[in-house]
Amino acid sequence: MMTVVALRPVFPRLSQGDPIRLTTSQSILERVAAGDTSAVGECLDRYGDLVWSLARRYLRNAADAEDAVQDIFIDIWGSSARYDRNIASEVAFISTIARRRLIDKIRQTERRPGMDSLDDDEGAPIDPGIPATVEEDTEVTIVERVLAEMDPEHQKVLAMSLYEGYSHSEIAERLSLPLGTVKTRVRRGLIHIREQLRISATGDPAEELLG
Amino acid sequence: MNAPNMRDTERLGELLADEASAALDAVDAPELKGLLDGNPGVRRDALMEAAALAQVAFLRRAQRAGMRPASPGRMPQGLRERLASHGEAAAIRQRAVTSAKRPSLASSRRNSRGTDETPGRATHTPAAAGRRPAGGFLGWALAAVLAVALVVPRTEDPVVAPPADIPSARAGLLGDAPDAITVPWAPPTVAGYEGVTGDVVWSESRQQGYLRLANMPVNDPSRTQYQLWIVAPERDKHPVDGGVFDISSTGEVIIPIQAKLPVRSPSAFAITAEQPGGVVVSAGPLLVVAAT
Repeated sequence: MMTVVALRPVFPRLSQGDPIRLTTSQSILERVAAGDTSAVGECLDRYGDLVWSLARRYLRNAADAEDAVQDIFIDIWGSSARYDRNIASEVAFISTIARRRLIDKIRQTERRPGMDSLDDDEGAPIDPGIPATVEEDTEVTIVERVLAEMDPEHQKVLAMSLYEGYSHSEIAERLSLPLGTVKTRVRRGLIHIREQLRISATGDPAEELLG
Repeated sequence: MNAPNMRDTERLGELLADEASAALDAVDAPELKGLLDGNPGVRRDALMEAAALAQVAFLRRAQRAGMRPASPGRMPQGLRERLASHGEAAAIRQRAVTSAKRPSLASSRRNSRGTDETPGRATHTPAAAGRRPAGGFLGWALAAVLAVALVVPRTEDPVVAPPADIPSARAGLLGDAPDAITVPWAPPTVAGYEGVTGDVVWSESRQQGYLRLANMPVNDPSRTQYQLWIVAPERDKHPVDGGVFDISSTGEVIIPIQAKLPVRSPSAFAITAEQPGGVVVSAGPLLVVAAT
């Protein structure tokens, strides 16, 4: 059935010369890449606390953490054009930039997370809150499941390396394991996580690392 | 893959795992770079991303288990304000360098014999065509002003192939969709467009629609492209982008609307002429308008 609607004599909301603002279905990072300044605030609202959490996990000195977070977000703004939702979620993209930057920061200061001095007013390691957006992230949920299903000894090595920030040699010493075993468990654990993420996303178990 | 490559790949995996777990030393870094250069198909971030997600997963688990104090959970406000200022200035600069590729609206053109030409596609804008000079490192206040003043290029969305027979598809929509509406173009008043006629067909339930235009001036895609805007105030106070398209003849042209967002109760459709690739913010003028 066709309905012909009567034309109003005057365009109801816009007239010649009115500015028109586009709305899009793009992700936050895609909007940042497109130059949408409003997406910057949304990005900070959604991921700022996560990045801050990761930085404080690594850098218990607040000034160092602020410097690192600033570097991370400058990197994020500059890298937003590379974001591809078909490859990774925004949480994955942002946390990967954060991790790489934090590792660089630690390397520069030649300190590791467990060796950082604490702020005078903060006497305990800090794990700030996780934003709700991260709670909802599918990839994080998948990785949680993969970790939970992992052999506890392997899981322990990964936690000490990736979360607690111990070096491979420190882990070997604390767990009384050969250094090679620690390295192998870390590598296999990461590859296993990668494979499970890929299977979840594409159903394809092919080894992505090999291209 | 031959044996040496397998060894390289295995070593590459070791080094990438070291990198992802903050264990890559300065001695191994050049080797990693060399292997990556020799294996361009390897995605360097693959294991770093796994490590980052694992770190977030461990963090979440620790928080759920109440293993750590939950304070301070928020980024300091002063830091946030600095980051916002930097980010907004970066976004403005990004506009200046982002290539202006745009989604295409396919069109079906009826030739003088009354048959349909092969549906065409809007020209994709060369990267340089939509570039503007960099605006410098500006603060938020200036950014806010520029956000409504700059004409900026936009990024490209996936191109959706049009139906093979667009006039038939339009007729089918009119015949089959009970909520299909036909909205004629208002008599244009802008010089050069006075003779444009036609209408917009839109079905809200199907989220499909078609523009029908006759006597629309031909555009030079290297200089300007037409851009459709959909006003749907129930969804957003700002019009929704309806894509860009080209007109190559003044005969009757039917263009499918490929709405990027759900459109509810559209109150108007409008066409502007913009730089190749279209814009995020338009200063108009509104060349052709159809109001419901």
